[in-house]
Amino acid sequence: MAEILCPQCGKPNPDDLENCQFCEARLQPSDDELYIQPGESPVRMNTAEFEKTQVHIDNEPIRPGQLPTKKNTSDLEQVLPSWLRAARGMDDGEQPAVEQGTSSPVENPSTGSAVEDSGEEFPDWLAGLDAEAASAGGEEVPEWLANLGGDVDAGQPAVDKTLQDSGSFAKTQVSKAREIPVEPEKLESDLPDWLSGLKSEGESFTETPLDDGRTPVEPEPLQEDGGMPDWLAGLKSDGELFADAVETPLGDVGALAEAAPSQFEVEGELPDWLSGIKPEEQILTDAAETPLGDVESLAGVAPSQADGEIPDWLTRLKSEEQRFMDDAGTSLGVGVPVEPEPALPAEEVPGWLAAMKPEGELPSETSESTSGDIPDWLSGFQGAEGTLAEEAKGSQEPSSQVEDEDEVPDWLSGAQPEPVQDDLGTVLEPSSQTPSEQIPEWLTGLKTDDAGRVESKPEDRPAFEHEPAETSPAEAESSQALPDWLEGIVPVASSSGSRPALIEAEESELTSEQPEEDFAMEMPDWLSSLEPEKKAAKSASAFVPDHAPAESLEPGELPSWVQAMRPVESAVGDIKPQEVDEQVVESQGPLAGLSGVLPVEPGLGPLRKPPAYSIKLQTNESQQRHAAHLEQMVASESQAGKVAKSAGIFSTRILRWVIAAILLLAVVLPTILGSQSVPAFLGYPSEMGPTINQIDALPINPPVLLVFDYQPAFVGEMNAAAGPLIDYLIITKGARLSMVSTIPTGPALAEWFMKSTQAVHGYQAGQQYINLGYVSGGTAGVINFIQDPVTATPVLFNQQSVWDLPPLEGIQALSDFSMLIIVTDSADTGRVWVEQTAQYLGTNPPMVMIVSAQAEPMIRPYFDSDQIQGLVVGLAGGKSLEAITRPGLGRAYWDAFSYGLLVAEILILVGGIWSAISGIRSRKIKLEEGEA
Amino acid sequence: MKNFRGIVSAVIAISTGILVLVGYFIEIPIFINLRGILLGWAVILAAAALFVGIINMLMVHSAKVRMKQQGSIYSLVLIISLVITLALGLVLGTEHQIVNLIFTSIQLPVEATLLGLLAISLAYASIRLLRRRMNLLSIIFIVTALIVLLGTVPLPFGEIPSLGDTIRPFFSQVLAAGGARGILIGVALGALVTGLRVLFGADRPYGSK
Repeated sequence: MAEILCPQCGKPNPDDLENCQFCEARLQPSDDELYIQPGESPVRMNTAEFEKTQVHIDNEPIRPGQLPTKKNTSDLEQVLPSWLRAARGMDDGEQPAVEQGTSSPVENPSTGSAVEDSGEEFPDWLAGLDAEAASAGGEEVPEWLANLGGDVDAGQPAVDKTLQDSGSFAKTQVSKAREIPVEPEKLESDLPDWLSGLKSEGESFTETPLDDGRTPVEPEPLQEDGGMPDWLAGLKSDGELFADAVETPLGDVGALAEAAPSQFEVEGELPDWLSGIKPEEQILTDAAETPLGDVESLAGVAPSQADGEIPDWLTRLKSEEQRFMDDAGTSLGVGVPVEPEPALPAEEVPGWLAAMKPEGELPSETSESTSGDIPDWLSGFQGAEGTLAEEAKGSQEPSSQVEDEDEVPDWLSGAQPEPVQDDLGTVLEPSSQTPSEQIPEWLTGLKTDDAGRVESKPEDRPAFEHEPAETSPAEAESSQALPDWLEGIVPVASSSGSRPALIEAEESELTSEQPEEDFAMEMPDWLSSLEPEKKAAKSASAFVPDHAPAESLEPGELPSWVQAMRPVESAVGDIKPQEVDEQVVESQGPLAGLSGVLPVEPGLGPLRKPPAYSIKLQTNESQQRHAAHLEQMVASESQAGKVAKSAGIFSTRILRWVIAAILLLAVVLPTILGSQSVPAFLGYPSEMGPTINQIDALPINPPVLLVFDYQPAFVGEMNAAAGPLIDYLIITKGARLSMVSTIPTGPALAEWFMKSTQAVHGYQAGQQYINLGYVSGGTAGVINFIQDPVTATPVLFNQQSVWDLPPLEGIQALSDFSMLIIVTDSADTGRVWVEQTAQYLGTNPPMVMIVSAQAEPMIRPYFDSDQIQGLVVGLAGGKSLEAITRPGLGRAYWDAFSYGLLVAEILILVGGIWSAISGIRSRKIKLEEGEA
Repeated sequence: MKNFRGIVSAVIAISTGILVLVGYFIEIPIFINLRGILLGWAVILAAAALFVGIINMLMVHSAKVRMKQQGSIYSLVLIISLVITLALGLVLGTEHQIVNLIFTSIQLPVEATLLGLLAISLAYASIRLLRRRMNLLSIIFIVTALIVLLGTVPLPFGEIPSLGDTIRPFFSQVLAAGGARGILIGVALGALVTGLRVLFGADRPYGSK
């Protein structure tokens, strides 16, 4: 009946149960839990708990000696896969103690410690495998495990007995191994000679208990389960691997060479060659005192073995001993120098024994282990983990190994000491190094304490957690049960850190120098990644993911054994930091924080979140610049251009004041002084004669119509121009004057004219002259007045009829007037009177116009066309008429007028020249500035 | 409604213009009398328009004073002056001495002073003309102005020969008069066309579209 591991407690339950029989947890999620129903809202999870365990993760690689960060990952239990959760549950001690003899936990590969007593919970890393195996079902049985079947048939203890409650995976492996009939004879033929020899010798050692002072676990009779040699089967996890005697046929040792002995509880006795392994310190001491080759004198070695009973392989080693002794300072591919070995007869002290280091020397301290006290194949244990970096750097060991390959037996030539893998926390640190001896991997994975014994795994430690410092005392205790031959193996704390489970191609150099052709077998990851505990502990603590994954399972929340699987700096010492950074760090899933993780699909690389495309308009700098220019152009269209303020506005005002002052002086002074220095014209204007002739042709006391259509501003000029003519008219003809105006100020100007210029004549209003007032309507009013002046101006302001007054006696129409005199400053007004009266009057009465100098050009054509019969132009005309009459305003204004004009002319001339020169200079300066 | 009003105004304007024009060319007593009547109405309307303008000016300046806008003090002075002068003129008459004194003491000097400032400004502008615009026309203008000014009045030190009796008359009576004649012809033609456009209804200065 298949079994299902409880996701909560991790204990196996029959698959027909729905709830766990131990903790009542649901074994399988319900359909509702598995599938989301339509319309069902997603389950909200408080991710704040995940943040609690978030750790500050930098990009620094793992440093040697750096302890892993222990985090409380209990909150993440729900998101972990079941197999991982089971492993964690077992690691956290949730599982009850394993039954004695039936639940011997598997040795923790990460710690490399021997398995502790029964009752030790099955390692979680292996327990998790059980779940997978249970679901997977038909998992392929490794070869090494398959070979165990033969050993069982040969009388091996029930190795699987140790796995009954420890994990179904191992049990499955073992059960499968049982199914494979393996005959010991066949196994023996496939085994190397030294292991074959062990088999024959092991039979006599099956009953030898380990001298560890601990109660050995009674070996159970061999059953149909696995062909695990006793000495391997007796290997326990958590430091109790060699606590009990192993009853393992030596013939099966080779088949189990690749197997992690920590998975099996060692039961029975160790062979003499293994049981004779003394603590390292003792061995070194004995080696120093004992001549080389004197194996019999070494403590822990059975005397019966000393005399002629030394295995051949051991004897051959003696011959190699001397040569290996000279390889001081070389590491077994891990750069561990070898201390000089004591002088012992080569035929007496095996090299591997002589190379065994004292107990007190840890590889971490020295990272150089002596190679004269322990066998080379054991000495490689020590140096492997501590010298990964040196090995990567291409230590001398490869060369030394190459040199020694010729002398090393074939079965040892392939067993090159390899860097100890501390991923599983299991490290076997040989006290010395043997450059060229080939060390089985299962032994390389064994981690020993200071006494040379395999270290034990603490109960509360996960399968892959390695804390060398913490477990040292525990290891020391557990190592008491180690056999003598393993006691000398001193755990070496690798300074280079643990070997990562996932090693890049560059890291493969570390192992490439250690060919393992002979022992190249497929091993599970947990077995192949056995690393010294200290080294693994340091690496696990030193490894820090590059970034905190955004997912729920963050690197900091991973169990320590997962953390231990991360690459360490020492293992990638030669790798440049940028290379390490280039590695993709997994950010999701249970492998979050790990680098070098293979992508989900080959070739795709690490999965990343899809890039978020901004909805904003993506423009480059050039486009933005162009858009800014266009915006400025558009904005400038609505803005008024600034007018550059002209410089020198103060000087302009001063100049204006100066000009005004000069002109005033030129005009005022002659007037005040009454100067008459300016001569008159030598001649008369051409229009003056006809004008005088028209006046002379009038009868006596003629009615004359005067039209005052000029602005008050021109009163000075117009009075000076019209005064002499009116004065001549009055003096010579005594004319009756009628005044009218088509502008509102005309009547007032007429009155002012009569009082200022004609006062001498004493004309009275209503008697000699009459003011008809203002005629509105502009041109229409002129036409209206011309057609019927009586209707146009019937009464005065006082409602008195004017057409009965003496000045207008006998006047009913415009034609009744003897002369029309138009006094205007505007050419338009004069043109209107000329054009309108010509239709009705013709040339009778004659029309004389007195105009300002500014209107002369527009009025003269009418004079030249004889549409008007007389013309007087401005002050000059009046001055000319004063010559035949009497002096008036013309004469008074003539000098001021002349001097004023002269000054103005001078100012215009001089100022014009000066302005022209300054303008040319300024433009030249601007041109020069523009060119610059 | 707006169209009807526009049509009526156009009809009135056009018919009136035709009648007046016909009265000029056809001396029929009815047309002559009608033309006289229409001209009388135009004169009255012109006078009324002047009165309306005065009222509008009072309203504008009164609003400016009431809103206390910038320059409202000048509007107040204007309103006060207008009221006083109107009152005095209505009461005393236009020939009264006080009314004439106000005119001759205030309006005449003010306007004469403004015309005198024009003379200084023209002299300053003539001085700066070549600095602002240095070209042939500017030079011709300055030279012509100087010649005319020199020929207008004899200089204190004597008359420049041929300047006063030949050169200046040539500029004023030939060049200027010729240009003036052309302007007058253009003005006359323009006035004729404008009148015809109003008679034809092409232009409606009376406000309708």
